[in-house]
Amino acid sequence: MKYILILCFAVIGHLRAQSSIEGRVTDDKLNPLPGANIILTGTDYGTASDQNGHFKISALPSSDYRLRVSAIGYTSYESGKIILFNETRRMNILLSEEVILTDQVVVTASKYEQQIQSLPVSAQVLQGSSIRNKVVTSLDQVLRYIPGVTVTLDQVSIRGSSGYSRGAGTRVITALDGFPLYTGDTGEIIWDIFPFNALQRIEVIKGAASSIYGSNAIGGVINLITEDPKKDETYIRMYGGAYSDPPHELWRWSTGTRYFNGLHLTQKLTAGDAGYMLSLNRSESDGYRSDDFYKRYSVFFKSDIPFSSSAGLSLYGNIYTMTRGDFLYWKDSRNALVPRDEDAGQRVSSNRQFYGVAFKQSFSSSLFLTNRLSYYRNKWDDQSDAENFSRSGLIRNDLSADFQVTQSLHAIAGFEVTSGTTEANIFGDRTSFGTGTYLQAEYILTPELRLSGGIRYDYTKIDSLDAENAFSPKLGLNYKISPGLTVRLSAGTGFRAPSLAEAFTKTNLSGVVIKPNPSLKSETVSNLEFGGNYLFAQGHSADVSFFYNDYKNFIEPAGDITDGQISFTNLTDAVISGYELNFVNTINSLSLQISNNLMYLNAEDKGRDRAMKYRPKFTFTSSWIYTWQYFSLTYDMRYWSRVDEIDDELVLLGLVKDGNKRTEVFVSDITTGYLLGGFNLPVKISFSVRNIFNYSYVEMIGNIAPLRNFSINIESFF
Amino acid sequence: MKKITLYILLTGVLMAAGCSGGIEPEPEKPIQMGFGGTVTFTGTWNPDITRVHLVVFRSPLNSVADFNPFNLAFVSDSIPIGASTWTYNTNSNKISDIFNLIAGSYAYAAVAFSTTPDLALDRGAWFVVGVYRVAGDTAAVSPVVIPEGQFVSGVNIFCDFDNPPPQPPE
Repeated sequence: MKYILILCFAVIGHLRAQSSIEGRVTDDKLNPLPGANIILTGTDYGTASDQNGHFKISALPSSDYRLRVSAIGYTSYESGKIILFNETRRMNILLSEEVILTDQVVVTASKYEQQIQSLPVSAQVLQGSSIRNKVVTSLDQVLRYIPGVTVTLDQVSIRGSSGYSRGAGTRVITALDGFPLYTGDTGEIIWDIFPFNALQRIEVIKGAASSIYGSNAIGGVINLITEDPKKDETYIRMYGGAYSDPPHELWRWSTGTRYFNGLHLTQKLTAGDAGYMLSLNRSESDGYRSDDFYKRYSVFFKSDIPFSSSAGLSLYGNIYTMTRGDFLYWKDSRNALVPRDEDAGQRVSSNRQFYGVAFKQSFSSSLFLTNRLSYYRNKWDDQSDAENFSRSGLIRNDLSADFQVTQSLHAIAGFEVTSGTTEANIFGDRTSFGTGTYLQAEYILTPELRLSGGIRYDYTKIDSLDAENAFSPKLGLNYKISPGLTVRLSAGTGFRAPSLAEAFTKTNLSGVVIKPNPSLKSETVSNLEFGGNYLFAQGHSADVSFFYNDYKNFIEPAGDITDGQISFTNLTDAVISGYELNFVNTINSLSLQISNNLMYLNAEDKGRDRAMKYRPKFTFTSSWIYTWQYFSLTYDMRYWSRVDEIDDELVLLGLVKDGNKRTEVFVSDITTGYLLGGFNLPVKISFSVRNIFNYSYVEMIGNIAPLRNFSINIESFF
Repeated sequence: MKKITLYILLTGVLMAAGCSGGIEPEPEKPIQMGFGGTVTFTGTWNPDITRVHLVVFRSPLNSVADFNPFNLAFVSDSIPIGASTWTYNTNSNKISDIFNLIAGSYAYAAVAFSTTPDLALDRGAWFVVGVYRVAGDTAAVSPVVIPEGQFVSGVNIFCDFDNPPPQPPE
């Protein structure tokens, strides 16, 4: 009997024994995540994390549980079985940012923040944590995997808007916190100029955005949004790596291993309400090809200084200096990693500076003005026989007003002016002037239906070219048919003035003679897009879009077979159309996010009845991201079909030997990282392999793309 | 789960395709002997011109007798009338496959036009507008020398319709 009583007391004690679970929820930089939902699945027990990310669920009967932690914009965490017996279990939970686009993601496609699902056009957002997880050494490595975006060498194209023109002109505006990044001469973007470790997100707006962003946005916009310096934080990143041997013994040109390395330091400081950020970057590479080294150094500065609750100033500065080898084309396919004899030893040095001041003044809760004043300086020299050099300066001012007219009507209007000068032997001494004014409004007709319309007027005068002006209107519609199904429609026109480089380049690059075309005209486009997004279930969505762009006077480089020289010319008519399919799946039970994209592109030069150069018909990208607490694994793959057309003239004239050698592109990258958060150390160690199969391909004729390379990356934030 | 399996299969297939290696070096080919360069035209084109060719002779044209088929080593395909420049390669711009240049010295390389309706090997039917001459060479014509197993580039010829070179004997 005595034993039975003891047993009964033990059982009752067991049942009455109370346990608890406590811990902290953080993001992948170990910052606390307040407001995260913490529940024990299948029970009524649950809580939310406090301002410091801490949580505690008390008075739990002894039993087995499963913990689920979720927060908006982050992937959910689900634990395995937790058996509690009169104890307090401590758990630190790390949630990773979702790569998946949710309704909560906002973009600034129309120069003010909107939910991505409300836009009338296709857009893509890549979160900063995703960029850090990929451990890239240059931003174009990220852009190559964004659906609908292709990068040929370093020239970006959205939905086939551009082929390859060696940096002379762009159809995609790249902006940093709303400041378009220009140069006065070429319009070329250098992708490692940006502090990509300090990016909060990248927004890609697909299709002509001339109605609000002006001339260079005829193909789309890439908006880089930097983090706000709202707290004191130090970030250090070091990486080092090496290239594999070439896949063919015949291509081995160096006896030693080719290395690359980089060092980044970002310091954020706050003083009262003001925040400051300074980022120093250095990256160097021996190059996997002969005469393909680089040494790059940059300083980025940003500060946010509020004057009052209604006014504030943001200051920006970016100084970049670089020296690199100037690898134009291979010697031949048997010497694919060695430049032509006439190009051997050539170098390019450049220095770029950008300074910006943004002043924001709020006049009421529904009206505020922003003035952005910026200055761009670009200087470069090469050491070719022609000793090309260019010095350009460009100043720009953009005044915009953001007005919430009524609860259902939102308008934005602005006025821009740019003025530039260039001194160069390759372009001549030139001046440029442009001005634009725009108005755009969005009207919420019903909670499900949004209508938008806008128009922009541009006037440009580029040195001796005829002054040109254009109106670019745009209409859009976004209709939410059901909670999971949204359709969008947009139509409009766009316009692009030629860059100085396209109109006036006159040089001889070791036999490749480029002649000016002073009769070059602006190009225009009429575009139409129809798309829809369907959310099958939470975390599972499909997006489809059809696009049609009809260009007039499309500017492309072309060889003149009669004299063997190259110049930029206006194609009479070009049509770029196609479709894009995106599938996104988040499987919380497997801690997996998968994104697959297929794009079909039909780019026709109607005048010559042939495909346009350097546009693959099919592209497919696939990204797999596995995150489990402190461990992450990212796999990216991309496929391009073989491009139909290349610079045939350069091959026919014998300037690029074996230049017609090209193939499909199959590239896979893998990155794995471990955050030492479990040891309470804010240090992440990552290992990355790019082009894991050492696949040989060209994006541009006579230029083998990077060989397989391995790198180790160590980053710390405190 | 079916969808994930499909994704894995699709990605796996594309990954496997990436193992194939991509671009391969061109197999080694013996160098085709010959020469090449650019022909540049200045001056006013005669409106009666019916054809323009690059012609090469083995021996100097000292007399009209040297203008014979056995001395003729090469005739290019037709140069576009009115062109300002023309880039050529004797291996790919020949009028007939019988013209294969081998190693040796070629005394006379010239650009000549004809105004006759048909192609003829008749000295009187041709007028020379440019000859190959190395800058600084005191001779009126410079020979083109093709070393064994080599292709010679930079054989550029300048033609001035308003100021033609001395004509071979008629």
